[in-house]
Amino acid sequence: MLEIKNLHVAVEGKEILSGINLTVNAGEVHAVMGPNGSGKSTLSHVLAGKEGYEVTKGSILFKEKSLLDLEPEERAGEGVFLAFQYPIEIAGVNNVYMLKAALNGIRAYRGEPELSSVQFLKMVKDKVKAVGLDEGLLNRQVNSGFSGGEKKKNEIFQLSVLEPTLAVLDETDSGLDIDALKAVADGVNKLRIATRSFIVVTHYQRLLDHIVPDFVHVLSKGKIVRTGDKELALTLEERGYDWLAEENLV
Amino acid sequence: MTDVLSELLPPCESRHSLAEPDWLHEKRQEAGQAVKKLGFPNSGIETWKYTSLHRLKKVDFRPAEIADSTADTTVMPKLEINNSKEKTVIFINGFFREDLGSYKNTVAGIKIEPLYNNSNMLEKNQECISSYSNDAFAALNLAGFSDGISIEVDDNAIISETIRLVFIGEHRDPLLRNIKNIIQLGQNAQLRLIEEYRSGFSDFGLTNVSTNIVLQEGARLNHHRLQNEAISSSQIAKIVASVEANASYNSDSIVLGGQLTRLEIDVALTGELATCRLNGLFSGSGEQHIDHHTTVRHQVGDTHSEELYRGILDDKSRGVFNGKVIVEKDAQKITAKQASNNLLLSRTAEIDTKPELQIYADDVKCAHGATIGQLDSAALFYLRSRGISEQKARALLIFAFAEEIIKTIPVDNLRSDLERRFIGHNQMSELKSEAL
Amino acid sequence: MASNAENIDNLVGQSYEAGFYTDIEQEMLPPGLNEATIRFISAKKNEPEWLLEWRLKCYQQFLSMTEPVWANVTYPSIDLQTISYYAAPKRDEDRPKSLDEIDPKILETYEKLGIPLQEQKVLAGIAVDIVFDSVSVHTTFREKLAEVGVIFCSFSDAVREYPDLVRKYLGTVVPARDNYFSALNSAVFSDGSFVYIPKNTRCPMELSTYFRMNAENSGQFERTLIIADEGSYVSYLEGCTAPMRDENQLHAAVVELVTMDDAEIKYSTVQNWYPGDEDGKGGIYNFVTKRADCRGKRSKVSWTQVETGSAITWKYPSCILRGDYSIGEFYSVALTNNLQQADTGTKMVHLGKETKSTIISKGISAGKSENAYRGLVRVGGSAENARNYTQCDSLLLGDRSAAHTFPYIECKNPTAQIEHEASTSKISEDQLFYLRSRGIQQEDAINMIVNGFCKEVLKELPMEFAVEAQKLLGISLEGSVG
Repeated sequence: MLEIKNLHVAVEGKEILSGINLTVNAGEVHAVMGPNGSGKSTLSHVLAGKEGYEVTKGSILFKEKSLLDLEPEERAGEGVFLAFQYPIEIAGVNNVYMLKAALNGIRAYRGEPELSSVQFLKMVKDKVKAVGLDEGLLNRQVNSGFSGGEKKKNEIFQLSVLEPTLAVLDETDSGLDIDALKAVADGVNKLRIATRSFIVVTHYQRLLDHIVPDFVHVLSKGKIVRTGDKELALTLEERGYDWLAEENLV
Repeated sequence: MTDVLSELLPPCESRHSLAEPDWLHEKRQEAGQAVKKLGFPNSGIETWKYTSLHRLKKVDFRPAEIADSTADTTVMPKLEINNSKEKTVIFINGFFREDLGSYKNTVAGIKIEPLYNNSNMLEKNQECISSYSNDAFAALNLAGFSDGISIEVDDNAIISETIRLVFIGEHRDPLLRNIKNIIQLGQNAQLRLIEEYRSGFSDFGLTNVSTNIVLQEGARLNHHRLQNEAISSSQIAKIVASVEANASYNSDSIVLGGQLTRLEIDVALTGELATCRLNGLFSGSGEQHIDHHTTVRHQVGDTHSEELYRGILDDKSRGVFNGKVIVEKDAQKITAKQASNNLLLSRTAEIDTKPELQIYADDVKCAHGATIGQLDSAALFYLRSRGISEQKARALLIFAFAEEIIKTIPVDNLRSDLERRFIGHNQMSELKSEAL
Repeated sequence: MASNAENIDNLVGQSYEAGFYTDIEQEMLPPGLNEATIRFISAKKNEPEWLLEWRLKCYQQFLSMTEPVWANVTYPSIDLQTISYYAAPKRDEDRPKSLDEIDPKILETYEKLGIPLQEQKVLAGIAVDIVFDSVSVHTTFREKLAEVGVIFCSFSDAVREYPDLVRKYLGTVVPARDNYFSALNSAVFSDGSFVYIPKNTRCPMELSTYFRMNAENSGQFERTLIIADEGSYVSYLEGCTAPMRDENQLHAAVVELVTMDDAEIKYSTVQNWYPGDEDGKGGIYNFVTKRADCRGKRSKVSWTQVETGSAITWKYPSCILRGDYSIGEFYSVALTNNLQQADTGTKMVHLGKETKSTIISKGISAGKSENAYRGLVRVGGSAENARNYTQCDSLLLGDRSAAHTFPYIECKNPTAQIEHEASTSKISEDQLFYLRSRGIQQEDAINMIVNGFCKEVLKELPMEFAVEAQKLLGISLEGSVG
């Protein structure tokens, strides 16, 4: 489904990613781990098409299409979803309204008819329960006045409504206490289906206790330095990232 | 009566001294003509909308002369200047008195001289000395300045001594004191400067001071300005500062005295990462009139400014605050913050405030806020319910309001001096020890 | 990937939708301004002697005044002698009694504008007065309103039918000498709307006036007077459009509102005069004086405006809070694009005790436009416990536009509490990216953010207008945004 080949990315002339290779097949969950500054967030931003990143080399194919040629909304239309590390607050814009505009935008991109308000609201009500988001938050302004946990749940709720084929969770665990973390992970697990892949970007292993990955990749200095299964994450937890750095020197 | 501003000009043929260079003499003549043409600013001029000069016009001023600088100096001990830890530079009625100050030109990296005797400094600054645009008082200053200070700090010199300039006005005649100052900091130089204005209780003079500041790349000037003249004296002051890349200009301006005070600060941020912080505190009582006009010009991108002015107005006093932030075209990535908070303590006091933004670039974050109000009744009640008398509670709240500015002054003895005097100004001398 | 700025630049321009003009038979006075012009207008309207005298007195005052220069707008001085001061559809001689008698071309015009004119639009609950160039062509629901004592008619009709009311209030809120343009209007005004709501009456429907400037080389100088007697309430809406013409046209209106004890007027404007083309050619000079006199205790006036049109806008809907406990509100969205210039805001003058005012202003500058908020909050010595809250925010789209804020705050009473907040920033790249990454088109995302930015103001508009205003914001933003 997703094929990243030799991806080099620079920010203001400084290389952040130095040749990433990653293949994600349908239904797989890939965890990308790494210390601060290893390029994790850069990778998720580049996948979603954020400005300010210069792809100097390499390619990203998503369902045989070059993702790098697409605008952010076109990528969403293709089925890419980024759950933001820091969800943006937008004053004056209603949460549900934004989501409806997004869903119908994506449907239009795919040549599907728009959902009526009735259909949409029914679906939203079902899904908001599933992720355990307070229904009252739906009619608030986008992320305004939400707690950290509410913001993250709102991201997962959006994921459930927009039904992407590739969901990138950027440090979704950051700033969450253990209960909120569990709730968010439960939400994600319910959304795991054979046609949907996840890239879970995280610094800590603890999220992976709850969202169990098929593959774990370790990013360091802009490169994937190690790939393994979920055991790799546990080893990392135990021995720290320094262990890998030392090993690489040898 | 001084009906027309040009009556305040010195006799037009006179040279202030034989040493005065020809160009300066010419510029003074030109400025004199401009004064005649411009006259007293009136309320039709936007920047003078709220400040009337009618009280000044009733006084028969005469320009101060060198002979006036020998005025009685017995006021000095009262001012506690000679005990000051800082290096003092004293002017009397606009003329330098080398004999009175503690500063001698022995600190490495800095040169302080009376401007008028510094032909080199005059020459170097021809352009900024000669400019007065359409400002009548700046023109009057150029036409008539008797003296002023010239401060030069060498590149990379970090001056650890605090320099304290004290301008004293004291005369039985109402004098016009035209003072011109030039302050220049070389690259990466640092200086802390106190500029203080005082006058004797029988003084009715008008101080018209114009200060030019240039901060070269990476320089930093902490400028603490205190207007503490008698409430019979008046002052019109203008500061024009140019701040180059990475340099920073920090100004605290405190106005407690003076019948009429008009202070204009115009800062241009001319290089990337230039910053300025303008803080001000003014407290008026009786019939004082205190007018602040500030302008911050963000001329290039990545420049930053912050401004906080607080006013406390009692009796029949009137305060004016006009803060203007200009972001010029293509000056992107700007942050500018400005706040003007005012307390009105009496039915007959008045405040007029106008925080302006003029933005010609888009990548900016600019905000200003202004508040006018009285003491917070809930806070007042809270304090009283804890057993503090109403009078003390009020004093405490007023002091808390003022302290926001006072506490930013990094010179310990100046700050405590101010705290003491500020509280005294509001007749609550025991406040600090008891209530805090 | 192209940058956002480029994408914004690439948005396809959409033209001014109301820019057609209607080819109907016109009766027009040749250009020129003198006493004879005024006498002609007055005679044409069969005005009583006192009104002609008042006009002539105002004209004398006007002659002694000069065009104001303090606003942050630039334009060549207007030659008032090149303007025609009277233009009317020919059919004015036998004014229509019902819609059937109105020139179908005019009806077509209003249909194109989507104005609910037909009687069956009663369901929309709106009574409409329509001012076409210099004259009111039709007022709907007059009879129905008359049943509850509400007077809603053209200004000319009011002069004929209710001369005492007109005489009592005309010029008492905005005196002729107030400013250059109000003096001009007082001398040459041709028509407008008149509303009187009797005591303890809640006007049963929204009242609305649509202004349409159609004739070439004409100016529009309408006069609106609304009186809300004790304990009454009315919501009044105003919309305006003009054809696209290459020359600038002058619109200098005066609106006077009076509220007595416990009365309330809600006055909403969606201003969509032709703004000129992207090179700044043509467009309306919109120089308008609007003021409310809250004479009565506990009276309230709320101004809401959405300003997207006009080459130049110069207007400051104001409230004189004279009555104790009276309330003034000002909610404004001003959007400028291309080479438009706007200098708009409000004046809140607190004279009575316990008076309150709220100012919410949202400025959006795009293209190479100049957008200024200018406001005055004045608290007099007698205004015990006066309160004001002001918030004015500016949003910049593109690096060639400019946004300015000039708030004047004058306070003479220690019990007053005044709070002013302002901010200026550009449209947030983070917000744009967030919305786009959710699948929303850039253009829609910008609209969404702008509408969110304006929400506090838009929610003050009556429903039908809010929808129209939102659409207008979108249309006005398209084109050279960037």
